[in-house]
Amino acid sequence: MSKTMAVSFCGMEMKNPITTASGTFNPQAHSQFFDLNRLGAVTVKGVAKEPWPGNPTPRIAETYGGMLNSVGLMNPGIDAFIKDDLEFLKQFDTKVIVNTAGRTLEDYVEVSRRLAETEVDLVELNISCPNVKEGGVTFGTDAHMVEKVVRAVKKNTRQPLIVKLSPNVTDIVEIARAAESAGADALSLINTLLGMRIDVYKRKPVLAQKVGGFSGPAVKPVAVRMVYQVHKACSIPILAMGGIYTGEDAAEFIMAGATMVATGTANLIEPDAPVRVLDELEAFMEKTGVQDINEIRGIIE
Amino acid sequence: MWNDGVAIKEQVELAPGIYRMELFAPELVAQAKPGQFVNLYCRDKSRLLPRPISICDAIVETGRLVLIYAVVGKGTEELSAMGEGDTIRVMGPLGNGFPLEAATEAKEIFLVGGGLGMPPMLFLAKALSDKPLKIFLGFRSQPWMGQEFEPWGEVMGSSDDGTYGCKGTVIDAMNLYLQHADLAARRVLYACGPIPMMRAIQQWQQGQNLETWFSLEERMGCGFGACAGCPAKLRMPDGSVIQKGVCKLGPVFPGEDVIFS
Repeated sequence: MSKTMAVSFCGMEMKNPITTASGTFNPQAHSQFFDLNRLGAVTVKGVAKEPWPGNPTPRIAETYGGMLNSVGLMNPGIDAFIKDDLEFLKQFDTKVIVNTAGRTLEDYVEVSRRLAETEVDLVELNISCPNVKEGGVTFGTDAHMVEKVVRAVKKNTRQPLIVKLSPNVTDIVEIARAAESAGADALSLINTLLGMRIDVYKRKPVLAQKVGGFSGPAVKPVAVRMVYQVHKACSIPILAMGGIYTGEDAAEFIMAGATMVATGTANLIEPDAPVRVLDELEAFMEKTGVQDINEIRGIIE
Repeated sequence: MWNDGVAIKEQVELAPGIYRMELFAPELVAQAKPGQFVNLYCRDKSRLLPRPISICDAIVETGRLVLIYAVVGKGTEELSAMGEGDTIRVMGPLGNGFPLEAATEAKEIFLVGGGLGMPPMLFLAKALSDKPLKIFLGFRSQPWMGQEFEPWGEVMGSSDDGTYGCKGTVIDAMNLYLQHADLAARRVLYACGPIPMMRAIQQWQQGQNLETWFSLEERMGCGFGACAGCPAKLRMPDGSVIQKGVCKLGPVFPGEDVIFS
């Protein structure tokens, strides 16, 4: 059942539309479970110009059909990232997308400049992490701020720039349009929804930070709706994520308008989820008579 | 490294809310080392995250994996309702386990288990049974484990209310033992238990010729080093503080380095 899985994304040929959502994929940990060469791209965890310690624990809580995390973009900093993860990824024939984090506009610019000197294929600007007090989502929920940050970062980024959007806004289309007009080459959505859980026996929040990012299969309908709306309003390609667990889930996002799709929380539960979803997507195409994955993109009116 | 259909061979309730599960997992058992853990997954897909459970015993001859755990929520409640004939998804062994080589030079080895930190100490006791082992087990009250340790070393119990061993904590039991022991002798101590116990050991160890290794527990996301959900804070010799993931780089760390929040 040889199907055409290749897609073009930001002028780049991807062998298939499957990648990993940032923060849920660790190249070395996941390479024990599946062949990274099989993915169209891998997206690695948010990296900042210097190491970030992240938030206090507990950082993780389970919720019905999903989870909350308040990791807070813990990362080893751009230098360690280039030396370790990027070096490790060189052996694989897959595109590398690097998610970037910052507290200030200058932080993002600095990371982009550093990445410009590397072989990284695409940069994903994370202006949507709900778990950090400065930067992150504070840049991503105001259309003017989005425009300002994207414009500045775009100028300093060699690679195509994907802007990752927060669902924690009243009008996702307004934010998407702001990013597009400021020069974004693509959009990725959704980042996590802000959520909270309370332990009623201890009478306190489960997470040390009280609130955290909600992800997993439970958030999928919200993500599908947002991808659909953004696809209708913008012309740049979309990398979609939000609760993808099966090949059918991936097809759903592609029909809503996504060019690429990422598995996120699923990678933490079933480490080989990205390749399973890829196989299931191909099986879905076989079952429904789709020869080329590009046939079904954005078919929902 | 993971298997969707591991057969449950036996499940018994040792005490209210504390269960002992035996699984048939020969490949996993062959690789397992003391101090490692496994992820158990619920069938109910509304509960996605794995339940990390320490390995209590891995019996190569029979391929049996022994786990002892407490019901603390809906997930472990689901696990406790399973029995012989059921199958379960298991990933592991995970983590690095206890450094056994640390025991080679020691004159005496202390194994300290408190409450639900006790099960992994059994696997460790068996692995170090050719060494002079002193095993300290601390309970709140009635013991639900203890005899299993007797073939492997000298067992000294303690309980908060005095129903098992000496009245007090594992610290009291260790002090009692040391009254008649050579204090200068080189000792290595491996411990797993609640944070107040580990913190007490850390304070108690100061000034002693003692090397400690603590197995830590933290709320985990994935269990295999991908989500950055379970960092331990460690103090380095130069005073700096670093973080290491409990699941992938632990769960065992040098006791004096651990910073308890």
